[in-house]
Amino acid sequence: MIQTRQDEHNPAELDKPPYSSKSYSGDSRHLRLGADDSDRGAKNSVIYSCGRYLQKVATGLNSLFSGMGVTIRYFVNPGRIITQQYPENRESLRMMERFRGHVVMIHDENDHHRCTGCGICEKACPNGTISVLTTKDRAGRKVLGRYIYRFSQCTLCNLCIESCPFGAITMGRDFELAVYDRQLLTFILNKTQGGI
Amino acid sequence: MNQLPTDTNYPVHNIVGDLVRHHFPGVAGYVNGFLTLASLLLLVALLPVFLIWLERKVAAHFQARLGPMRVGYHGLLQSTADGLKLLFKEVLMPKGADRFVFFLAPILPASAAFLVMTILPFDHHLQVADPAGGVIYVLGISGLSTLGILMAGWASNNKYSLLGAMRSGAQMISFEISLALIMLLIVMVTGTSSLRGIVLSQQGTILDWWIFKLPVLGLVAFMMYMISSTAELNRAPFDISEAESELTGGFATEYSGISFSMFFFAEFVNMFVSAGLAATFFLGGFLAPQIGIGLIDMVLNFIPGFVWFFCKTVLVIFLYMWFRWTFPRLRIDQLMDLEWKMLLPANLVLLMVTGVFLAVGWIL
Repeated sequence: MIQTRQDEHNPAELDKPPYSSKSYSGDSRHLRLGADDSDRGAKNSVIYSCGRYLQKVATGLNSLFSGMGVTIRYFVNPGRIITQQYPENRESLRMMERFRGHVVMIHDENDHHRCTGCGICEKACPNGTISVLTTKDRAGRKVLGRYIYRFSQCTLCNLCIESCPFGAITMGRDFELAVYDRQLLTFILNKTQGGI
Repeated sequence: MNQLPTDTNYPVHNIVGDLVRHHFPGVAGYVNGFLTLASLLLLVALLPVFLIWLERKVAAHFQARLGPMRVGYHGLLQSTADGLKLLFKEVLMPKGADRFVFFLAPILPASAAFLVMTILPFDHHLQVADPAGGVIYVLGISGLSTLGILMAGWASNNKYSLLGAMRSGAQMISFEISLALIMLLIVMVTGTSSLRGIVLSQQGTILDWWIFKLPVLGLVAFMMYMISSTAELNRAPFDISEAESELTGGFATEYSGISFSMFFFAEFVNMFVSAGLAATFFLGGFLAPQIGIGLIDMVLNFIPGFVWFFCKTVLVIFLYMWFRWTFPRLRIDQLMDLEWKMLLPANLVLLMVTGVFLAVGWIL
């Protein structure tokens, strides 16, 4: 529409490609005045504007219908709804694969974990959430004593998990984490002292 | 094909009306009139409750959500609960607002919707009044809701309200031209402007509905009616008068409690009225969608007309909702371009071509 208005005022302006900054003298077409006039005739003709109008209607309707096609596909496929009816389906609700709950330590069936107490996670933590307290086993080797994790300070940034060279910790899938007492947010993650 | 009589409006038979006439012959006219208006009022009061629920459910499913699920079965009572909440909320009036106009404004759109409802042909004899100039009546009355919105914006003493109201006024007045021209087209092809007459002119099979009866042009006219009535209803993608992300609610910014709910209710009743008019003009109103096979047509005819009317109306309402939850909002200049540069010329050409079709007799 705006182009049409420009067209009436200065038809020669439209012939130039919009990115061209060349002056008219470089373009031989504009030296011939007759060509200019016939251009104006073509651009202002009824057939030209009718064609433009119809083209606009066709492309517009096409895009509208394709949009409506997208939404109706959502409408007729209720299976794509991921909304959960939370308190009602508490029993069957499974958290997403990539959900980050609080940090948990991976234990095997004998309650063994893979943590060596190296403390890399403690250094990686930006806000002092983790304290790795080590102890010595009967052979005098340094092993993990208590792995203290303060959930109240954790931002669930995943840096401790990324930094762990042994894959001993991971982000849990638990999502009902609210408690009434702040003390309950400090966990000791390891079930056994020592390791493998 | 059993042709319905076109000329007789009376006598109107129904159980309740006959009972009243039998027991109180003297005042039957008044009692029946009162009952008619009461039932219509009941419809006007209950429709928005259902339509708001429908809108929320449809919107949710278009966006892969569930919508209201908690109050009642699949949230059926949700809008009732919301309505009750709105009733108990405090009615506020901004400082410096024009008290009379401020509280008069919400009543106008609601009453406009109610007034148009009185001439909608729900069934063959289920129509409060059938004025000969029904289409003109519809056009005249629908101006009331524009007035209501303008008054609301002006009386609110708020720049957002005023901007929203002015936009809305410009938009509704522009699109009313298109709407009027499409109604004129229907009046031209049917030769009557009574709504019942328009429905009765579409008797026969589905192909006798005006959307198909006028080859191609009927479909084009229907699409143009849908566009301009969506704009007339201030619904998305033409909801620039509310434009909640730009104008914080437009003309309804300063309204609360029951005055706000009046606007909200009027919006949905207006949608029903618009859809009902679309059904009347293009989809055969209360007539059953016969397909020309005797047995099936008999079954379809057995279903009462008002059921067909409501089915068709809900179908059109679904279209409105589909538009709303698919298309993004237009800018004000795009909106005006659409009316004055696209729809209006197309409308005039359509009228002209229809005239040619009528003269040549290219009507199914």
